[in-house]
Amino acid sequence: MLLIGRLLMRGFWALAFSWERFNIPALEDSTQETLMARQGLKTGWRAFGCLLSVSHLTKNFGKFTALNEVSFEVNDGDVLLLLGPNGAGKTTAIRCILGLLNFRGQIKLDSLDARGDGVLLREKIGYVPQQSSYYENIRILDQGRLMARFKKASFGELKSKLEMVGLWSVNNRQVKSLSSGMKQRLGIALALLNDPPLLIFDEPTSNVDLSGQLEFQGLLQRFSGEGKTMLITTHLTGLDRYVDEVVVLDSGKIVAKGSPQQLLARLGATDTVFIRLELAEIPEALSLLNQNGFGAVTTKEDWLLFSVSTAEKAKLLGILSAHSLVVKDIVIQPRDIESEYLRLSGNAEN
Amino acid sequence: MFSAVFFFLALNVPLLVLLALRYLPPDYLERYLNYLVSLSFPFLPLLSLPVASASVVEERESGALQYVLSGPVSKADFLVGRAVGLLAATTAVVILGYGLAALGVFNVSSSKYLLVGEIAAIGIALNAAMVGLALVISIMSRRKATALGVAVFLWFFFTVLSDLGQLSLAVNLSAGPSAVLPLVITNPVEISRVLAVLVIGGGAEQLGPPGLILTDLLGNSAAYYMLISLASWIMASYAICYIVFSRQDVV
Repeated sequence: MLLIGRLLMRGFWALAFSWERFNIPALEDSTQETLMARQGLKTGWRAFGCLLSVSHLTKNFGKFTALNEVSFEVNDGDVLLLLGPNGAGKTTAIRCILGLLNFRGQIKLDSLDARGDGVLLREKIGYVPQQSSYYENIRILDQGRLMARFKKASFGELKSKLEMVGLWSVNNRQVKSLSSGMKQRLGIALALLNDPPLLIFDEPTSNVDLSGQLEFQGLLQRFSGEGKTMLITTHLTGLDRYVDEVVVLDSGKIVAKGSPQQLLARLGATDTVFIRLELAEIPEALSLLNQNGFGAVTTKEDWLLFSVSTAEKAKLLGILSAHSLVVKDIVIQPRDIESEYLRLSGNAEN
Repeated sequence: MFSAVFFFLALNVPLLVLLALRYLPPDYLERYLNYLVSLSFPFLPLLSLPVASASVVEERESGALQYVLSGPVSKADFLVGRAVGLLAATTAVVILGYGLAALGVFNVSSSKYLLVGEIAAIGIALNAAMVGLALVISIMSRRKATALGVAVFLWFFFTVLSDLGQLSLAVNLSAGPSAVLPLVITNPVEISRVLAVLVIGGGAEQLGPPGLILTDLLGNSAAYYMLISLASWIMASYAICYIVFSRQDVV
C-alpha cells in the first residue's frame, strides 16, 4: 500500500507540475506547426552579441565569501571556460546563474534577469550537473519524460536526443543501474532538449573514465562546430581548441580573463619542441641555436628539447635547414591554458 | 501498510460479530465513531509526518532538488507539486483504509454516511495540517535523519506530551480553565479529535477534560473555534513552507 501511495505521490507530483502549463504540446511527435513556432522562439533567443552577462556577482555563505565581485560575459556562439582549483567558486557561480542560490550582483541572459525571470531564464539553459542528480529509482525514459515536460519538449525530440547519446536502446533501464559515463550522457541528452541557447557543463569529466573524457571532447567539438554557446568548468586539459574565452577563478575572485591566446601570451607561455637530429650534428646545432638566442636548449641522446614561442618555431626550423642539418623527427607539445594556469597558481597538485 | 492498519482499525472485527448477532443499539455508529476517532486520530500524523518530512530534504541530499530546479520550474511549482502529491498519497491511504471499511461494514443509512464523511473530512484536514508541518521541517532541515527525528518527536509531542500537559492543567486548575484553550489550539491532533467528537455529538467521556473545558468556555461555538484553528494550522504551515523555501538557497 505504501508503494502504491508512493507511486500515486509521484504521479500527482508530475501532474501538479503541469498545472499551469496547459499549452504544453503532448509528448508525441511535434506537428510541423509546433516546430515552426518553436523555431520562431529560438530565433528570438539569438542575442547576436552578449548572451550571458554576470556582473559584480557576490555570494556569501555566512562569513565566508565564495564569490567576490565576479564579472564576465559569454557571447553568443562562444565557449567560455571557468577555470580554478577546488573551492574557487566555479560551481557556486553556476548555481547562482541557475537561480539555485541567492546572490548579490546581476545575472542576465539575453535581457532576462536571473532573479525576476528565473523560470524563463532557465528555459534557455541546458545544464549538465557535476554529479549524478537524477531520480535513481525510475527508468531512463521516465526521467527523460519528466525533463521533457518541464522543458516543453516533444517525445520525438526526447527520443532523438537519447538516440544521439546512445541511450534509447536501454531506455527501460533504471537510472541507478547506469555507469557514470552513461549518466553523464543522459545529462547531456536532457540538457539538449528544446535546443537551449546556452549549455552549462559543471565539471563534466570529473566522474568519468578516460573513454568518457574523450567522448565528451568529441561532443564538445561537435557542439562547438554547431556554434553552440557553452559555459564549462573543468580540469580537463586540451580544451583550448574549443574555447573562446577563459575566466580563471581563485578564492572567489577572477585572477585572469581573456582568450586562451591572450592569456598564454600574458603568462609568457611557450610550446615545447622536440627535434631529432643525427647524433653527430647535435654539437653544431647547439652552437647555432645558442648564437641565435635559443638559450635554454637541452639534449637527450639525439633529441634537442626547446621551449619556444609560436613565432620562434618557424625561425628555429629555418636556421637548422639553412645549415643543412637534417631534421629526422619533430614533436611539438603545445602549451595549454590549464597547465599554465596551474603553474601560475602553484597548484600543480590539482 | 498504513491503509491496512486503518482498514482494520475501522473494520473492528468484534463489531462485525455484534452486527451479525444484531446486538448493537440504534446509535451504535456514533459510539463506534467516537472510539474510532480517539483510537485512530493520534496515529494519522504517524503516516504523514515521516513521509512528508523526508520528502524535500531527501531530494536535497541526493541532488535531485538541485537538478529539478535547474530546469524551468519555479520553487512554487515544485512546492505545490510536492504538497499535492503528498496530500493525494496520504489522503488516498486514509480514504482507502476508512472508506473501504465504511462501505463494506458500517451497516448504516445514507444519512449516516454524511456523518462518516464529516469525520473523514476532519481526518483529511488533520492530515493536510501534518503534511504542511512536515514540509516545513523538511525544508528547514539539512539532513534527512534530522528531519525524521524532529517529525517523530513532534508526533510524540502532539499525542503524548501535549496530552499529559492538558491533563495536568485540567487536574490542577490553579492556572484556571482558560489555560487549556491555548494548549488545545496549539495541537492540531487535539483540535481534530475535539472537533470530531463535537460533530459526532459525543458525551463528556469522549470529550475528555480538555473538550469539556472548551465547551464550557466557548459554548456552542466551540466547534467553529476548532474548525478555524485547524484551518489556521493548515494555512499557516503552507504559508511558512512557501516563504522559507522561496527565500532559502536550494543547495
